Amino acid sequence: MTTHISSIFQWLAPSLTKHFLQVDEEMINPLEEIRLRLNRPVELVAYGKRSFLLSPITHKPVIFTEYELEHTLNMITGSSIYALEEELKRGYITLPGGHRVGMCGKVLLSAGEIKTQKQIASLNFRIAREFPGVAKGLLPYLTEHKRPLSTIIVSPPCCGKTTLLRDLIRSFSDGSEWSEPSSVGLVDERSEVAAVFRGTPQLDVGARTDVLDSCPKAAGMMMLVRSMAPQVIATDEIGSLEDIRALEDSLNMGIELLCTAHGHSVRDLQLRPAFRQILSNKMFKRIVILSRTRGVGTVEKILDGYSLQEIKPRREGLVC
Amino acid sequence: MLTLVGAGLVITATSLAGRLVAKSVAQRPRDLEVLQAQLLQLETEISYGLTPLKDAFVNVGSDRSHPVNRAFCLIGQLMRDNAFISAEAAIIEAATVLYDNTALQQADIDILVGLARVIGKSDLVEQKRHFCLAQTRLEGALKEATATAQRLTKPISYLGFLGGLALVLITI
Repeated sequence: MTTHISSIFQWLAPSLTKHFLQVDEEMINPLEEIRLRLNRPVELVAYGKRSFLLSPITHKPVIFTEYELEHTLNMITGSSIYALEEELKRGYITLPGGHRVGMCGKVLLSAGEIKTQKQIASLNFRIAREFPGVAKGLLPYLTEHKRPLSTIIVSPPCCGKTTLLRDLIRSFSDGSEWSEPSSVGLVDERSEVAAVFRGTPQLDVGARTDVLDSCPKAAGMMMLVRSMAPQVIATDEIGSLEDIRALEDSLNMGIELLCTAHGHSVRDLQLRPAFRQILSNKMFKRIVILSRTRGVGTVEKILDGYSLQEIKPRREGLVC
Repeated sequence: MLTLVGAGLVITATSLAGRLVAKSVAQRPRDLEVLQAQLLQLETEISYGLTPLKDAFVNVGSDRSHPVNRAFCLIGQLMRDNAFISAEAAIIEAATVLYDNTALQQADIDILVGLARVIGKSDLVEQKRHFCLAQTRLEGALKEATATAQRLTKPISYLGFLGGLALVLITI
């Protein structure tokens, strides 16, 4: 796991940072989220559990003030809210280090579509962490003749599928004892996989990975095929029929696919029309099912995409 | 002889003082024009380039030939060097430099300080409105400064000389 939680504090108002610096490192290091709501207590999320930040002196919850909000907004926007209209429209900003700040305020509409947000009153700092090497144990099953196989990772939310996807991208891109280095095209619609900040991926996605940031998946895949000629196309959370069509087109051009999807099992996927098509057309050669039965990133099964038979016995331990 | 030298010195001193004040009065419209041009350039950087504020100020002030340009560059540098300084604080700090090095009056600089309170804090449409308002106020100040300069530059210059002469005559 690699992250420097203290790098988050530089974006907060000094009066707030002061409180964080007085809290035990054991409590600070595992933080996943810092939620700041105007005139309400500062909330911390770690290991999925929620608590309020307490003042070490009064032992009462620390309240997020208007001054702190203004200062924090100035810091994360570089005093240039006008330059971040796209980000405000999407609802989050990516910071150096790959951390993301979700924002909530008053939404302005134009012709029925979200134009921007004003009067931001809630911020959610989501701390980015990398787990290099989590995919290592899976590589022998997801490669053949030193080439990556088209793979889909299926799991319910918060089971580590994006983390696993990122590490697989990195492994295929850089190469490993199981696969030759490949050029990977990543369509990162929600900037979650590579966390691009001003053109540079903040999370390691490999030396041979080209990232198409904030681009709709279907359009992005076609764009990558035409412009970058990748050997592997990776994308997170596929689901629409449009995505499936783009995946099919990519496959027809001899490109291997690396995708994730929400779901608990193959049976779960078979109930959804788009995925029924994926499974019946045998678009993926491997299906990895994740869960958190023994912690985040438990590999439940690795299935062969053609026969839907398990190709590896149930694996003990965690992947990520 | 000493009286004559003294009288000459007094007249020279008051004449120079008169000319300095007249020069300042004549310079103010020119400084206001530079300030207007700089704000227009800053607005372009913001509206069309979507340049972050600190970089926009440095870009606009990169031609450091005029004190107003240098003040804009200083604002950008202050924001680049100190992540904790707000645009408002940086502009207020540079306003002192403007006041000391240009013929701009406090009322002129207050237009910039007024803009500082809102710059970078809203979307493009609102930013454009704030710039438009600042430009309108500067236009008003420029008209007033130009009229003042046309009306007062020569009289102030003469007043220095004549004041000195009157002082000499009264004293002798």
